[in-house]
Amino acid sequence: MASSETKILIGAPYLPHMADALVSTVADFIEVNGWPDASPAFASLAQKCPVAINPPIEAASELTEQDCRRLAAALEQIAQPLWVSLPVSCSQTADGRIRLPQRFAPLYTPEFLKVVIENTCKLRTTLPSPVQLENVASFFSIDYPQISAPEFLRSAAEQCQCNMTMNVSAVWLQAQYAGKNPQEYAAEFALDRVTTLRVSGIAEDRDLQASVAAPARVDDSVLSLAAWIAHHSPALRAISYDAVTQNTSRETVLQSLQAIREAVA
Amino acid sequence: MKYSPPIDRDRLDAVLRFVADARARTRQAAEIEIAAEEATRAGRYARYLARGFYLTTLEQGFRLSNGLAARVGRDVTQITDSALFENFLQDCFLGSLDAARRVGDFAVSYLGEIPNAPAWFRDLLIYERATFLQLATTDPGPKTYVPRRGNSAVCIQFGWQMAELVRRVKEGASVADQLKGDSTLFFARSPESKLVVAEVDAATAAIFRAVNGLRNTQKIAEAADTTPEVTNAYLDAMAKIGAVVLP
Repeated sequence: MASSETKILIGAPYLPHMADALVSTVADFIEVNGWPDASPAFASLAQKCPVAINPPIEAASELTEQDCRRLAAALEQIAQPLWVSLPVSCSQTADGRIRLPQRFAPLYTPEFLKVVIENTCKLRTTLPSPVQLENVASFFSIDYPQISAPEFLRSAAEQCQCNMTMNVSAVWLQAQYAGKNPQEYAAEFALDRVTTLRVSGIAEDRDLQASVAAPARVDDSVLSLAAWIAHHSPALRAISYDAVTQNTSRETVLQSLQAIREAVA
Repeated sequence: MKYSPPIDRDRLDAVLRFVADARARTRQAAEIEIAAEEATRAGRYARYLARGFYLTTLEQGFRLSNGLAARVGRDVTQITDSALFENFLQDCFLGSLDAARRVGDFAVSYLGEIPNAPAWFRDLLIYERATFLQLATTDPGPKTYVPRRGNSAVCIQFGWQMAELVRRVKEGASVADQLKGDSTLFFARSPESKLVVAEVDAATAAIFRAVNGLRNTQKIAEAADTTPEVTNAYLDAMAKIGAVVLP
């Protein structure tokens, strides 16, 4: 962590039915997953509370002018914009006809590294807020020469001179899928560039026959890994709870934020 | 400078197809090189994505009829646990119009069986099936050289005043027989992936129905009994909401 005097901010997901209550009690900022909605309630919230955005823009996918304009307009609505996190993923085909409903890792190759760098640098130079790159997990692999995900993200972050949002659940899940030690795997990332951590609940899925991020109370193993990463990330300034869906209950969100706050303390 | 084709982009597209299309995973010669064990994992991942996606879109699309069905212990998301859905997972193409139609039909069939349903319930199911088609069809369809309909766009004539009926059902208010009467609604998925439902007049409906993916603007105008200038204006407006796709 930066120093014992640096206050780590706690972030809550933007869930319209409880955002106001969270900000006035347990959260220091709100994190919007997707495009901010056009409701008066959000407009009001955006004037009184810091907001980070995780837009539905993928660093390894095609970046359109329309996306850039929409993101810039969204940030203009926010009085205290914090940062924009871009997942290093590419979940749709070039022709747009296939679009997976979850973030999907690109091939970690020089060709995609170039795409990620171009997109990130373009957003970095046009947006008023910092742009951060976020890791994603892969459940299976293909026979094709690639560099490792941590190395890919490190190269991209260094060449774009940007920081990282570390999705701790994705790190933990990736370690599980690959049979690795989570701390050793986390240590492969550029922890000196990690400024934000995201944590979530975890559940077993019957189709995957493995664990997956889920709309549940933040998982203790994930939180424990987050604490370890926080200890090794000198630039860390925030930890947020990812509710995974909009339907996550108020109780689950509150319990998770409380658990994060206790872990940070 | 020598042009290098994006080889990795093509390869990633093949991987995405492998996940989305169950048939791509069962072909003898796969488009991608993948070890047998990893292919099995990819299949599990595909099932996980598809089940979660259709569960979520069923919940969103059939919210109102599902609320009424809940009174007799039915929940549309139970479909995703059925043997029928297991069969569907064996050959579905995630996000395709065909897959959305199949799951939408499962839902209509399942919810349509509730006893003592009100007279307008069938129309509500048709309304929500059309809504579901927009939410569950992420494939925008192929490029086009003449105007065509949006991939999942539909124009439906109802026997009830659906806009008002839906508003009342949402509010839990009673639906009286005075709401009987024809209304025609568009359902489309906008280029920004937003659901669009709008009541339309006869002229708009006529032009939409004349768009069949084969006619050019002139022929559409003839079929809809209007002028090319008027047709162009309507087509532009419809393209903005995803009801039609222009070349």
